[in-house]
Amino acid sequence: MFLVRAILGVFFRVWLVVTLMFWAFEILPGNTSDENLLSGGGDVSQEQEAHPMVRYWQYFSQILQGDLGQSLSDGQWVTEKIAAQAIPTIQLALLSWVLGIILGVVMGGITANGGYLGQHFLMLENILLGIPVYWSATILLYIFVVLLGWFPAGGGGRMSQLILPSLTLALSLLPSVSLGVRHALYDQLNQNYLMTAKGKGLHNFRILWKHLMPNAMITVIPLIFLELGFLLRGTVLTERLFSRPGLGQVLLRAVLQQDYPVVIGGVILGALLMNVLQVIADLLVWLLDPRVRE
Amino acid sequence: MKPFNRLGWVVLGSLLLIPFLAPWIATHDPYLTSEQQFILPNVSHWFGTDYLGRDLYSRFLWGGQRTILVGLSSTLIAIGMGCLVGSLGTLTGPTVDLVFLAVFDTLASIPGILVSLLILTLFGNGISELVWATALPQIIPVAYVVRGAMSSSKRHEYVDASRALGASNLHIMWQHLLPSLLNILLAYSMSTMRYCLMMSTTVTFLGFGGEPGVADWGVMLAEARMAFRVAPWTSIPPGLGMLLWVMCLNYLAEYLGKPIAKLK
Repeated sequence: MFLVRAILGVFFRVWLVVTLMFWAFEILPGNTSDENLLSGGGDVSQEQEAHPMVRYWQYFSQILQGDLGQSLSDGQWVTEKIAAQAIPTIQLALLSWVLGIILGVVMGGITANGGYLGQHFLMLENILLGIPVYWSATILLYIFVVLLGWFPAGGGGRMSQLILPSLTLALSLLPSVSLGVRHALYDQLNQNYLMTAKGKGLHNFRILWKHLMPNAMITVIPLIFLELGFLLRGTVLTERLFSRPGLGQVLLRAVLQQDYPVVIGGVILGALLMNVLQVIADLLVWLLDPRVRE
Repeated sequence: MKPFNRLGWVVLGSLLLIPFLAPWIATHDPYLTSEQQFILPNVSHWFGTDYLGRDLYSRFLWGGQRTILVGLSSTLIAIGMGCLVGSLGTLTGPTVDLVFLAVFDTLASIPGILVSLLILTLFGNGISELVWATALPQIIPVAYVVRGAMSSSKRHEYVDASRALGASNLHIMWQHLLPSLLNILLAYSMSTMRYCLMMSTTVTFLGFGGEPGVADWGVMLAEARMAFRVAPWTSIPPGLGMLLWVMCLNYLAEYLGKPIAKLK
């Protein structure tokens, strides 16, 4: 029942996004000719006569069949264009996601523990939260490429070209994960099991990592899943920063060339991705926390 | 945690506002190119020069002014529109409110950077488009906050009392609900401005939202990224400016949000 409702919700939202995109193009003056190209590049004169509702139905049924139209610049199918470049982006997003979570959870634990170390890590977290990713990338590039010479500056394909972009992106993800972990840990502080653990005379370190952290994770995990969607913005930037091939580059080129179908396809797929991630996050909470199930 | 004492705030605040003194304290024309490329900071060029020989100190000031003004105006738009959209549901009734909530959920699920890029594709590449592209993704989060706060303060007795006296929905919203939101909005506008600054420099970094080479912190960081082998220090002034602004807004949001958190 829960799943059915969630999936229906995804369909509804994606439908709303598609509808919004279509009518935005209908209302905008001067874009009607482009709109015809958007809906598949069929017979233009015939389609111009068709009622907007008819064209809306055509566009919508095309999208249901997995057809997002053709690119204006080279006539390639949008879905093919995106699928061809998806793998480097997925690699980058996943690796930086995993790195960011591991570092973020460790940092969240340390800052929640307080003390001398915690204070300094809190300061570091604040700096990382404020540092724009394009500045940290320049600094990392200077350190690892110019000074140390460990990694190549850009390009894609090899593992060594993946590490530096992932590290940059992980550093931008780190503070929000750490913040989430810390607040989740603070929420656990008035629980009874904490007093029991303290009464048993356990060491603070053990209480934090063995007793508090697993319980805090229940609230942190959905947040972490949603971060995967927010990484999208980071990948657009990071691909440009390290001149990596990927979806970000496709999107940016499309924006420069005013290639509407590609950008709109990106928006629809992005909304779909975010909605699916939301459902997965809800499902994980449902699986992890028996209290929610009842 | 009290990050700064009062003197600290004053010093930091005046540091942050230095870009607005650009007409008086800038030493060079920020667009004037010269033969002297990538010279290190010295007496005549305080922060050195960039790849076209432009004075980085003047570019930092004028660019900061542009970046901050774009961030500020998009924050104002986001807060204003967010208040409007967020209060519409409360104003009209529970059925419309549900519809609004569904629409908010939908719009919130589109990643912000895609909204910005879509607006830039559709409407072009000027500074006003940059402001709108920065503001629009932030409207829905503000609307959520306004809607949530309004629906909780709507249950107070003074609202019932006002309604019993024959006040209209609009009067109740304007006279009672919006003023009760002011401190929440003030705290939230700080974090909105943080996002707006980040988003607008992201967009200008990617090369949109103005002519190429315009004085803007995002553009300056993009130019410094190109020159990271020869002159990595050119990225320090705009990067540090962004860092200070964002950190300060962060602290402010935390500081202003504390009384609200205590109330709950």
